[in-house]
Amino acid sequence: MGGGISSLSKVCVLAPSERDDADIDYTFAQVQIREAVVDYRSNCGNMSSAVGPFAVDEGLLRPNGDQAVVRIFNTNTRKIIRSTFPLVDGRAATDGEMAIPGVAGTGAPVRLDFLSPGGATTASCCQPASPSMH
Amino acid sequence: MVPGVGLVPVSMIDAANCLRFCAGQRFGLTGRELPAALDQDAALLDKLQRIRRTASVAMGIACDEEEARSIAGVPIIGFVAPPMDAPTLSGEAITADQVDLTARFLSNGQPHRALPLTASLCTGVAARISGTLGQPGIGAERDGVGTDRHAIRYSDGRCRGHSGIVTAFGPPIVARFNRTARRLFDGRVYAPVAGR
Repeated sequence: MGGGISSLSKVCVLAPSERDDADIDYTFAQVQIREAVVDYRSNCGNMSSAVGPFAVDEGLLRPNGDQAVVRIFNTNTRKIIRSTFPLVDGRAATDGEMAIPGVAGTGAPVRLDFLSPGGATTASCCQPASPSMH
Repeated sequence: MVPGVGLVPVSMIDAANCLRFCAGQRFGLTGRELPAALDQDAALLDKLQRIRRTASVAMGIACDEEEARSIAGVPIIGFVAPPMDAPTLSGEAITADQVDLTARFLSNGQPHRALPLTASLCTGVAARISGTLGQPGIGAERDGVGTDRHAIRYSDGRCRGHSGIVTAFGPPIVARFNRTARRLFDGRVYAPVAGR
């Protein structure tokens, strides 16, 4: 799918969260391009921006009003990301004025707040490796 | 001390993702290099990967070099340089006074072609920590009490973010970035059932 570029070889898996401090559980998978390996040890910030809008559009949660605030639990780093974005008729807005360098055109802003970002990986020092598919 | 490379001053940060970076000058790099040029320099990429694997063990992510090789996503490796005028992939000219820092990161072994978000977040947090390699050039633009804005120059343009609303001596409470998202296509993926 990604044309052999690592930044386009990524998978996000979403599910409703059972945590009190989150609405959505989000697991990121980096599919290596030269080896048959899937790495679950990191998160992808840019892909995180798609999680909130996708969760709303798929009906995983149904926020009211003109703005959604989705609390995302990233299972890879065990961190909460708060995603805030405008809604149109209950779905994530796409049209807007936000311009991102390297991205064609403009779009609706998705604001990502990474809460207490420190210690995303190293807190789990030398524990058995996370599941990898070889 | 990195096997096959030598003594390399680095900063290792863990915020949102693990990151480590070194001064580009150490390898004769200016920071103006675009991804294609970096991609062709196999010797340089090998050095950066060696540093990355050594850092992975030093940070306790991997237990040894071999495991570090298999954990390709973290720590992210990159190099930093002072602000400078330079071209971008999109052709937009960005001048030194528009940014706080110039940076290049590898994404799973490849020069990152866009604006890496967690690496930017990590670099912004590093700027709040005295003595890190990114600190001298970043974090000058204050935006209210305890908040630093930063702009990092990449091959694909500028990545602007808030590196954190920090407590007096504590870790960052929040790091904020803006992005956009739009669904491009839908589809189905068929995968074999494990064990068959």
